[in-house]
Order: sequence, then structure tokens, then C-alpha cells
Amino acid sequence: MNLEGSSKHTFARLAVLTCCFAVLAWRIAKVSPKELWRDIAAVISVYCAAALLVHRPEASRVMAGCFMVYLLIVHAVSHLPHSFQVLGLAP
Amino acid sequence: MILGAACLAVANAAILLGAHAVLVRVRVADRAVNVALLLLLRLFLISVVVLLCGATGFLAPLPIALLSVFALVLLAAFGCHRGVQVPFPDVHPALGVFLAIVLARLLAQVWFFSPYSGDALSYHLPKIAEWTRAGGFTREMGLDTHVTFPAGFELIETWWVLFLRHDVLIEMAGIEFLLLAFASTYALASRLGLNHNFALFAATLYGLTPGLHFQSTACVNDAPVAALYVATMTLVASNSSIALTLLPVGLGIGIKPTFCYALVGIILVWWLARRAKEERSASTRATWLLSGLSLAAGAFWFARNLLWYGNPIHPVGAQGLKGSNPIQFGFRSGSLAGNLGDLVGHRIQDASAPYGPYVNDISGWGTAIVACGIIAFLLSMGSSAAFRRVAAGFVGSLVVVLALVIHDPWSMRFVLFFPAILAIATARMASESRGILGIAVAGLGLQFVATALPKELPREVFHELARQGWRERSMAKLYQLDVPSDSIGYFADSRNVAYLWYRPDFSRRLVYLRAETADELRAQLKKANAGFVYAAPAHSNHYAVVQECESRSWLRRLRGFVYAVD
Repeated sequence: MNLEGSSKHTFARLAVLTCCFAVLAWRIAKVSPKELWRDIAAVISVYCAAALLVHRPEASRVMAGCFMVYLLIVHAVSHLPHSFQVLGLAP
Repeated sequence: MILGAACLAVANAAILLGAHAVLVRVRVADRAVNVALLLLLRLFLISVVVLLCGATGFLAPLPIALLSVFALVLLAAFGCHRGVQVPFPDVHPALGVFLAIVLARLLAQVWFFSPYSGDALSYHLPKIAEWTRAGGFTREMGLDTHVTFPAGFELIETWWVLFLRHDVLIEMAGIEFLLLAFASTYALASRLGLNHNFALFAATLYGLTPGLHFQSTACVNDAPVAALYVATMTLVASNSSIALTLLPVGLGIGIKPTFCYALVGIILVWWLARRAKEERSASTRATWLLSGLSLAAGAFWFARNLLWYGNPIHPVGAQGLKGSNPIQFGFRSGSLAGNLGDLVGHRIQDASAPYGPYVNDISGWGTAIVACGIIAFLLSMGSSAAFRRVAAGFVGSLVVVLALVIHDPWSMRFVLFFPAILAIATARMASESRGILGIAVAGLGLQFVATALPKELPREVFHELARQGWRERSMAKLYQLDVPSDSIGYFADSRNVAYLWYRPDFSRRLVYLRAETADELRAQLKKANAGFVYAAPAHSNHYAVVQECESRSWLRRLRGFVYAVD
């Protein structure tokens, strides 16, 4: 995403994107009380992203990366046990 | 068997050379699109050959091999072999090695897997067995309610069993379409501005989409539909002529009506790009001729149904299809809400079940596609007009298909085309950021692990299959489906395993029994001269028929649903 231009414009775009990602992550993860680590991962991701936003022009990419890592962990933890079971690798 | 393998090799060489000769006449300027076109033309020619031979009763190895030799001589005489170039593009070494491993594993899956998926065993493959045994198309195709559905994919599968008279290579049909999906995604990604290696990365991501990957070796036709969808979208996004675009459309129509549903998004992209300059094929007349033939081949099944049953989409009517395997006809907002709600709500997480060809209550899109693709998709939408246009088509198709198919646990297999745009978006972002490339590669690694074995063939079952010799490799042994006879009666009224009774070399005759009373069943068994019957009816009245036969000592249960006829 091109973040050049007025700071107001940039801020608006980032705000919209952040909202999109937050809703997306919430819908996909549907965090249950037993899986608090997901909440923690999400909070850390958003915190890192917010911190980076202030100083780095490629902040949206970094923020996207954080969310990708978050979703990667959520997806892998959700699905991999099934795959391991099929492959006979489950404990 | 050696003669059969030689015939298979000659026929494939003729088809490939023929496809190349046709490509010279219809090719476009974009080389990446031409690779996808070559694969499309190969599938088109195979479809036409099997269709013509099937309809005329010449569906046998020798006639097709002789025709192939004649075609090869003719093509060589006209110098068609001179222009053939085998492309070995400059691939990043790591990606090249990975692709070679994936290809080798796919070939191993073709060799060691044996048809196992429910729909394939019940209604896709029994018709291939009947055609192969009869040497042409038959009216008898089995007892499943879906046997009369379009059989465009079965034509390609027939090609891979015909010469060996054995199903050991039947999964190659799906691999052909997976290659088409790969080549089309590569061409589309190139068209959207990705460089060679990142376009290949996008194609690899899509090729390893778990749902698509497992469909390709499961003898079911949703992955071929997805491949043809991406191919059609690629041609439209490349501003190809309408005539050329109709080539994959004809093939898609002949495989499954869900392809027609998805066309809405492609038409949208065509409409959005209508002012762009059309990229003309080398010969307009040849292109129109090909497309006309392709559409005719696709329409064949509907015309046949109209002729036989008075309804082109028999047995589906205006009310859809009721019964144990219902089908929706027309738009339903409830289906859209249910399918879309489940996709976003939980299926996308792939948490409910292991991967398999039917993606039961999961999306089957895989870790990299979900984790990176969705976010990359949103970002790409904001930064590229060309991407936005194509993405609008994909989203349009997704929405329309999900509104037109029933909301059941398997509905996501009808939208296996959608991960292609997510894969392209992922590769697009990965090309701009090393960090995102690393995340995508990690996700791809997980997808590779997850696409080793489908849930229907867990390790123990796979070992059982692999332990069998290739000549007799079949799921029948695992299900203990065998009788000491070359013919058997078959009495079932729901989804079942008819195909397994034919044996992998199609040496057993199946007599399909359609009886409403015990006397009718006995009479049909006598007429068929069958010593055994597989009777597994689900409906209570049919079950009562079997019970009555048993009580009158006409049938004696051996095990499970297998009976001896007394």
C-alpha cells in the first residue's frame, strides 16, 4: 500500500485497514476463553503494528505481516492436529 | 499390458503434437497464456476423440492407437514437429526443487491411490467402467440418481484407463487439470504484473491448495471446474477474443453446471475491460471453429438427456432434486447467507476436519492462502486497478455460486477457484516484502505437509493400498468386497460403492437390479444369471424386498451386504 500523501489521508486509510483486519481476525479466530494465547498474540500484533505506524513509512506492510503471522498461528494450531492424525503423527 | 502402454504413449504423443499444431493457429502474443492454451487444447482434443469414439462404438485401444499413428504421420509430414519448443524457464533453484518434489509426490499419489471417494465410486466411475467394457457409450450407467449428469471430466478419465484397460493411472486426468490450474494461475499472475518467479510462486500456492490438490487425485470434478474457471478468467483478463474464451467455457459446461454459475464473475470482468484492445488469435476462423466444437462437446450431455429423458438437466427439475443427495435449483438467499456465514464464521479456519476432496465443513484453502491471502487481497484491492477488476470477478463468482448451491457441509468444493486470486495476492505482497515472503513460505510448507494424504486415506489405509500389487490395487479389498465370480447383481438405491465391484481391470460384469418386489428381484437375478448379489438398499421398501428374498431362501447372506443367490 502506498502511504505517501497527506498525513490525514494516510491515517484514514490505515484506520480503515486496521478495522478491516481486526474484524477479519475476530471473525476467523472466534477466540474461546480456553485459548487466551490467541488474544495475547492478537494484542501483541496490534501493539507492534501501532508502534511501527508512527515511525515507519512501510507500516501497513508490517502491520499486515503481524496479522499474517497471527492468522498463520491460528490456522496452523486449528488444523495441524487433524493433518498429523491423518499422517499417523499424532501423539 | 505392454501393447496398451505403447498405445497410450503413441496416443498421448499424437494429442500433444496435435494440440501444438492447433496452438500455432490460435495462439496469442502472451507466451504464458499460450502454455495454458496448449494444455486446454490437449484436453479439448482428448474430449473430442473419446466423445466421437464413445458415440460411434469405437472406444477401444486399437482404433484410437491407429488413428493416433495416422495423425502422427500426417502431422510429421506437414512439419508440425519442427516448431515444438520444450520450455525450461529460468526458475529460482529453491522453487524449482520444490516444484519437482511436488510433481514427484503427485505421480506417487497417482500410482498408489486407488479410487476412494464416495461420489466417484457411486456415479462418476461406474459409467467409465460400463463404457470401457462395452467399447462405447451405454445407456446403463448405474443406479445413483446423479449418473446422468454431464460427464466431460469422465471423458479424460476414460482416456487414462482405456489403453491399459486398468484404472492404475486414472488420477492422471485430475493431474492434467491441476497442471492447467497451475499454468493459468501463472499466466494470470503475470498478467497482473508479477515477475516470472513470483507468478510461479502464486501458481504453486494455488496448486497446493488442499481442497484442489486432493480433488485432483480423487476422480471428482470440482477441481477441473476450478481449473477451467481460472483458465477462462486468464483469457478474459488477457483481453483474448470471445472466440478463444469460449474454448474453456465449452469444456466447463460439459463437466459441471456449477461452472456456468461461476461464469457471472467472468462476464463481469469482460464487461469491465470491454474497452481494452482485443488481443487477436493467429487465425480468427480456426478459433471460432474450435470454440464451436468445444461448445458442442459441452452441450452433448444436455442434448443426450433431452433426447433420453425429455429434460436436459435430468433428474433435476424446477424444484431441484429431492432425496438423500438433494440439489438446489435457482437462487436462494438462505443458501448464500448460510454458505457465506459458515465460510467466514468457521470453515475458513479449517478446524472442523482433516483435508479431503469434499472439504467437509472446512474451506480447504490451506494455511498460506488463509493467513496471507486474505490480508494481501485487501491490500492489493487498494493498490492495483487491474487486480481490482479481476478480483471483482472472483468475488462475484463466489457470491453467485454460494447462492445457487445448497447449504450443506460440502458446498465449499464448488468455489475452489477462489483461492487462485488469494494466491496471486499473496505472491504480489511477497514480491514487495521479504518478511511476508517468509510467512507465505512457512504457510506453503504447512500446506505441503497437509496435502500428503487425504482424510479418506489415513496412513494405515494408505499402507494397505500400497502393499497391494498395482494390478489388483483397490479399496475393494479393504471393504472386503469380493466374490468368486466374474458377474454380480447390484441392488442399491443410494450412494454406494458400485465401481469397486468392477475390479481395477474392469473384468467383472455388474448387473444393476431395479426391482420393487421380491419376485421382480428374483426374476432379474435369474435373467442375469448372477450367482451373487450386493444388496444394500437404503429405502425401507427396497430393504423389505431383500428381507423377503432372504426369508423365502432366494438369497443367503454371506457377509455384510453380500448375498449368494440360491
